[in-house]
Amino acid sequence: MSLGYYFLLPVLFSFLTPYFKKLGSFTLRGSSILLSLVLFLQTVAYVGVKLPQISQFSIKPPLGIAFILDGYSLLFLLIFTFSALVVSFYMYWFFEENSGRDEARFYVFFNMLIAGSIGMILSCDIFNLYIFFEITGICSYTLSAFNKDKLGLESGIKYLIIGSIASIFIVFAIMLIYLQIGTVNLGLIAQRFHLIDPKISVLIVLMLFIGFGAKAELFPMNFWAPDIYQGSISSVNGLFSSVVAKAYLFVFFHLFYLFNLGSKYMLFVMVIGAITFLVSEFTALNQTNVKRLFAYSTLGQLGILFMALSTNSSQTVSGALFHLTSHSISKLLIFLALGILIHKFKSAKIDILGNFKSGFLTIVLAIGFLSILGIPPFSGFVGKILILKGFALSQNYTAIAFILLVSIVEAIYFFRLTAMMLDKKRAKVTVKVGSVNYIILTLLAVLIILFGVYPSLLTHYTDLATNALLHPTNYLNYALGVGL
Amino acid sequence: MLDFFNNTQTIHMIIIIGSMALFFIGFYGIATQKNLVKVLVSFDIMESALFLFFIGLHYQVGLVAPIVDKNLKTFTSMVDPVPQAMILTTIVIGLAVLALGLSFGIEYYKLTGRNDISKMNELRD
Amino acid sequence: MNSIFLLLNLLPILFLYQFGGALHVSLPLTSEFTLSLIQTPLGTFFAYLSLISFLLVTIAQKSKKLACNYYVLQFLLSMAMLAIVLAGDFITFFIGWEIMTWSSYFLISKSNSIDIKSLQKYILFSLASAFSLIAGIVIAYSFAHSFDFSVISNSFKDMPFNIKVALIVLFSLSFFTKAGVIGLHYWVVDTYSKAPNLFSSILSAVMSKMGIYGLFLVYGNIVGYQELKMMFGTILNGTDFGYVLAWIGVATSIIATFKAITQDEVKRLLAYSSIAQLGYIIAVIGFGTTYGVAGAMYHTLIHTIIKLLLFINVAAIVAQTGKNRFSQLGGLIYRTPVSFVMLLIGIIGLAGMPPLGGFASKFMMYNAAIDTKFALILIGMLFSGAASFLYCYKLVYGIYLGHPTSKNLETTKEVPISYLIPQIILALLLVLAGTFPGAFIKIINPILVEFSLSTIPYSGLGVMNSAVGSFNGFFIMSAFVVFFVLILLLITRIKSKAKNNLNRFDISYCGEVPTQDTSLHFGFGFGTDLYRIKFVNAILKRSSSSFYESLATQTKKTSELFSRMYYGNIHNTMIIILLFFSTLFFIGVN
Repeated sequence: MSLGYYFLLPVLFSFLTPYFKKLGSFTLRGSSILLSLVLFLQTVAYVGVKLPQISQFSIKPPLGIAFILDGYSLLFLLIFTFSALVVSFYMYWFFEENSGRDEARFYVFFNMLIAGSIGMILSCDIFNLYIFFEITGICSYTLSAFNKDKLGLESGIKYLIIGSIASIFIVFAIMLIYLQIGTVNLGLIAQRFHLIDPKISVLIVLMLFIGFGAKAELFPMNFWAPDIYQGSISSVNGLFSSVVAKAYLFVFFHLFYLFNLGSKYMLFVMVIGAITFLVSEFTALNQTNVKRLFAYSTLGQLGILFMALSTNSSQTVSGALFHLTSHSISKLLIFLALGILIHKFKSAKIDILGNFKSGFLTIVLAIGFLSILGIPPFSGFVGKILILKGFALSQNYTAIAFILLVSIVEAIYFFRLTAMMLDKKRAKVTVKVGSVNYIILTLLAVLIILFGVYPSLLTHYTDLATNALLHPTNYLNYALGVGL
Repeated sequence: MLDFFNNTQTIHMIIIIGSMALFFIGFYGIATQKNLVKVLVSFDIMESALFLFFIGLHYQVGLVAPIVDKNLKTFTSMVDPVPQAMILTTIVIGLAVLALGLSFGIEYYKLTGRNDISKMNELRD
Repeated sequence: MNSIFLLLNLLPILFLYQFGGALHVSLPLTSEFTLSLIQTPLGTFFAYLSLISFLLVTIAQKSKKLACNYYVLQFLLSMAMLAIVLAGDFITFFIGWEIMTWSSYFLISKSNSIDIKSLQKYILFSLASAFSLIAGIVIAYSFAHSFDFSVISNSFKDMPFNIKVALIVLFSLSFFTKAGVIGLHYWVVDTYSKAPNLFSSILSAVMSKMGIYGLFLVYGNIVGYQELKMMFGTILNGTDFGYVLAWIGVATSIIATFKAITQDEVKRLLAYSSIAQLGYIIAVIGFGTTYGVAGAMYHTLIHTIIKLLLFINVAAIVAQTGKNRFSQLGGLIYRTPVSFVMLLIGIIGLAGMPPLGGFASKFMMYNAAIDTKFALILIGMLFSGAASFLYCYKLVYGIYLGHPTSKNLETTKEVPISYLIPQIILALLLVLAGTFPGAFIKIINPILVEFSLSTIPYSGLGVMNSAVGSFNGFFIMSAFVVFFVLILLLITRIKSKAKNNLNRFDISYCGEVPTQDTSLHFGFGFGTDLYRIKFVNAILKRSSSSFYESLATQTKKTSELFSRMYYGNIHNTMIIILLFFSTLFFIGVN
């Protein structure tokens, strides 16, 4: 199956959505589940296949457009399609409960969001990448404004404004690249990037940094992020946290290592990541809205990932990719479980949400929390210890001390929430979990534990991804069309 | 008298200066304006500046537009078509974002009667 | 439910016994980590200690109707501790350590009297301890390129001096927090007193011992006492390092003893007493001599037995009466005589009086101090040992003697048999430990060999040898039993003649006639007079809480400061992005 279906199928389903809507809401919801399932299964089918894989359209690269799947994008593809599958099941429950909502609008943009995110990680030409970036952007603005109330629209507008700034920077960078090198193919750019006048190259790098960094929620550019999370529904929060932010992060580091910027900008990205981590974890302490709180937590984890991914050492990067996968699963679990509570209580205030009584939700949320904190035997632990180990091997003790100290701050609010859940005096309102949610939350929790006790399942793919990320020779050959 | 305009370098200089001026007008707009519509317009101005800049720098005196018709004899006599294709796509995307932004703005204005982006601060703890 | 988990708890003991020291398992987790379990004499000692404690506590839990998840968590906790003590590498150790942390956290949260603040205190200190541990682990890894104990131990000598010191400090901080050294004990008292009553016994008796195990592991196995001596030099007959550690331990023990005396809540007193007793262990653990290690080890054993006994005893009384303060208890000796005897045995052990095991362990520790010529340390230890008599006395008097402070205390029944069985077993163990201290020499000698220290000569089951003298526990016990029986006979003869028909209000003091509201109980306000002693007052007034509270306030202030940036003005956010870009651009271009 061609890689192009990753984009074509969701777009087809999006365009068919009005037709599905006529057939009834079951078909509409089912179609999205079917789509995610097909995409996920297709991705699973790529596991074990010789990588990289390439699908070219009409003309052969570097002149034509192509999608390339290497080890690095395979890991993200697995995360994205799995998250989409889980969220589409969850939305089945969501629309059963909120029957009056505009389902078709959600599914159009949901399918396109998946298409855009996947396109971003597959496309091997920077202009296509920009188009997918914009598709993802437009879909996420609309999804964050899915609640057409004041808060929803506000978050939509804010996201749109930030997205516009980011896209202007990226367009500018692409134009400069084209003016300097005369190509938009990533392989050719990577090959000729060092030929660019150093001043212009600094400008290009900075523009790409601002463009993708603002979207990937790096520190001085992330003041909007918690607002977006607060204004949107919690399944969309889960998507933002585990798919959209990760897609921007993917592109950031893909370009970072393709253009070989590691030696020059490593310290800078690391410091920015560290500041992001520090500021967000401290800010999270002071929150009373659970969505904002986990938005800050997401920012913090992205900070660690930026710190670890920029190190250019295979140990740390592999650990970071493990941590990224585990964080995606955990955050999805947390946001979906919170969605059930928010639906029940019609509020996102921690004080109100803390009154729920449900053994199942307590357990799965606690598993999610412990995993994000990096406590064994959950998957977050393996990621964190691999990152720490990587830093130790490069004798970067400052980073180790920093991560551990800030993690204690992180623990303060995670365990405050846990203590609230466990408080017997609070537990008053019994919350029933529907069978669909029961299955998906159990699945996510089991995955967290499974990756924690048997990490070899995942380390195989993170090692592949690390190798593809740090040594993109094969990728470059394919992108240049060598031997096709 | 206006022959010196027929010089590629001069045209490029004019385009650089003009598009930069336009870009900074847009820049000034987003830095100072708080009305959502004006901000969106400023974005559009900035984008237009970029388009002009990009297309303009690929124009060379004596070359024709990359459209297949009777004037186009050889492929060497036309300007590079890739920037034009890219800009066309970008214009469409920009239009879509602008339309989306305006529709959000209208809905928001209907609900609250406000369009000042610095006063959109109901999303807070 | 109880019986199932009783059997489940029995299984690992049998399993361990079956292996008999030859356990060696390794399980590859990923290509980089391998989990390995190795049975060393040190680990085996602690393994049996913790497993038997869990078994006894499970017996005591028979009378409580506990949910299944409580038992599951408790079993998980015991397995985590087993993983800690049998670990052959730091990853296994750390996994056990963290599972111990969170499973105990969830167990503590099941208490009715727990509040969020105490839970937060507990988990944050535990995590700080764990993070300090993991920092040490990865730093050690960066030099040894392995997590294996033996590999790290071998490459320790080649590390730079500052790294060695950093490792020792990080590991010590982690284990000190678990053991509750003064300054790091902020979480201990609240947690022990607010945890479920029977679970407090596990916390105090077993979990704090994991800190001690860690110290033994690091000082004895990873670093090695020889290496400590070479690194820091010697003072008198011990090491410089041991001297510093001894002062930390003695200070812990003295301060905690005084704090214990002034407590009104029974479990808080026991918590402080636990801190004080662990202070002794920490005082002698760094001596680096045979008798230092032996004393620390013996006291670990004795303290585990005593604290289990006392906490189970108190838990039974609290369950029976519903009161947990000395000022609300009293006079229970007639109602619950068996419990009284058990508590009496416990405090005799705690005070370190012959003929019970407590004496033997104190004897070893004092001897170790004499052996190393740490005279001031010895004085400090003797001082806090003497002061500990006061809280021991308060314990027995406040609960069992004097007048009952309320009516329902007069109708209390003896505690359920399930509480008494473990107490009786523990009391017997305590008696045996006092009677046959020589048996312990046989246990400790392999551990001393493991630490490459000289062994203790063994001369009979009843004889405890040490550097400066020996005593025959069997002889003392026999003499004691004879005298005890004689005196008991005498008292019962006298008592049968005395008349006991006085009312508790048949007194007047300072011309005042006590009313029903006046508390005549001796336990009421016991120890408050200590505040009048300047030196003690200075100790009691000071508290580490102000430091940690201000730390919490600082964190909160920082958080508020940072969250002021996220106030949701998109216009300013845009300007910040543009400014950030311009700044970076100017820095980058120049």
